[in-house]
Amino acid sequence: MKRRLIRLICLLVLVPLSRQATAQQATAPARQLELFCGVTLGYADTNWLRLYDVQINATPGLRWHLGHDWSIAAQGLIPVVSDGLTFRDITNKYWRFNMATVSRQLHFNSANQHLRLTAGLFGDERYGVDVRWAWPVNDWLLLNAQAGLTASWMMGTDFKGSYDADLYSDYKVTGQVGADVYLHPQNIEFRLSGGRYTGGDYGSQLDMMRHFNHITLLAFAQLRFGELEANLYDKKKYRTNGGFKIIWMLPPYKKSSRKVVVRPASNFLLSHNTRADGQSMQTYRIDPEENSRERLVDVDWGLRKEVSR
Amino acid sequence: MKKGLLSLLLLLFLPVVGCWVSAQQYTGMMGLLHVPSAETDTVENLRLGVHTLPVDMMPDGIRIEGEKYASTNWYVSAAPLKWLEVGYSFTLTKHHKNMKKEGEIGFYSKDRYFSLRLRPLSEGRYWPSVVIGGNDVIGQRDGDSKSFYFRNFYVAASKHIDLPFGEAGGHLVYRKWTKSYNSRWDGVVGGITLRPSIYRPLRMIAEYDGDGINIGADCRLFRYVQLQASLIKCRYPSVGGAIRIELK
Repeated sequence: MKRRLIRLICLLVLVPLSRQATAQQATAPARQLELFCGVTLGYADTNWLRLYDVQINATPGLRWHLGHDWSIAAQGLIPVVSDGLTFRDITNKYWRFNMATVSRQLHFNSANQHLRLTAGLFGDERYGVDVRWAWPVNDWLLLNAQAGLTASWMMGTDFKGSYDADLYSDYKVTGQVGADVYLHPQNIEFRLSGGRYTGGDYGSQLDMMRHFNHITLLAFAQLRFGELEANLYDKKKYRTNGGFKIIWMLPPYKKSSRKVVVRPASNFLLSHNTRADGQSMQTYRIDPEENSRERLVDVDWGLRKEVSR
Repeated sequence: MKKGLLSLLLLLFLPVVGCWVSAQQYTGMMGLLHVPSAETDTVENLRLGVHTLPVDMMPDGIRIEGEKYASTNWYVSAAPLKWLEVGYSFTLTKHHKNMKKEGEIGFYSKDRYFSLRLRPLSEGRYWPSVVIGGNDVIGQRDGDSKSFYFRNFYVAASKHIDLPFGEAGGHLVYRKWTKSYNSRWDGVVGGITLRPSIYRPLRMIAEYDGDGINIGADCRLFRYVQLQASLIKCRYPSVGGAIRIELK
């Protein structure tokens, strides 16, 4: 299984890298190493024993900019508070690895096409390869797509607390296409996307965002198609879902030019998912600081990069 | 000594001068005490807070072993646009631990709901601002929810006038609760507010919520803190506080 992963990473490395690909905009200096740490707060209402099951993790991570839009990123999980969730999942108690990726961005400026290729161990326990595409058609419309070939992985501890790692071969092709519309004077953004998700289900999602200097308020609505027993607790097959997110960018807001930067994680995200079944319309994360406010493909479109943080 | 005290008071008041609108309802939305209003904040903002609910403010449908009880409401609300306000609240509810009859009674669950307010008309020189809104506006289980304890919809109008001693506000609301056990709060309700010119961040409130007269006051301190205290039916105390973050 490890061989397969190495092969995937090699495949990404050997992707014919066009010399005409140039950076779309100034990014972090080459060879810069960023060390950061964030916090995740997980809460779930699943029983009548307490108000909420609570899981608080520290999420130390690093990003190493190798130059020419290459970067390596990794993230770990250090449980700080584990009240309730440990009852079902003992791995929540132990320090563990969460993400390790290598990625390359390609900017074909003459054709106004932008790509990001990523391979490795993704968040949400998926591994494989992922490609993202962005095409800023004009200053208010951006078309984008994402495709991935991933399987599930687990790296943590077993029920006795022994270290354990597994890479499964349940490969699945997922992908979404989307259109983003940005209303400039009001800093309002709409994102409509749809496609296939990691549970094998299909669906469509609409995000509505209002951007401020360091905060984005987001409301989303989802419509799911296909058979999937989504909710483990009441066995209902919900087709609709909704919720909101508050994305809080944390200081320092400006990129440093130092070779080694130590800072807090770029953002804190509070997310409320009404169904919260953890199964329907699920995706995976390819970046330790991924959030809806910042794009994974660096394009100079919508919310200006200098105010995104 | 007097000068020192005066300077201290001025120092305390300075950070709050310039942002008059100070309002907070138990759901985290703009309003009076137990009655909504058509006031909206002057800037887009985010609020996180908690409010105590005395027995008299709790819906009759929320009981434990036949008895009503006091609770608290926790909320996060936001005004992403000046004419739109959304909120998410949960009210702690009592149950037997692990739903076993012999289990101790405590706050083991909560009733969650979304609130929404839209302002189609802002206040002008001769006309009031108008807001339409509701609490508990979305059913959690595809519409078959049996709770909706706090579900109500309303139309509100507010008008303010400047007087020599401060700013007075009149607020008129038509409100409809969907559950019959909340019908005592149905119909035409409203209130008056006074913001004294000597200390504008303070707002004094008297209102009629359909079932009785409530009095109270709210105040914004140091730009980020919002406090409210009231006597429901001039008798039962209720207090709340929120962190208010201005969005720019």
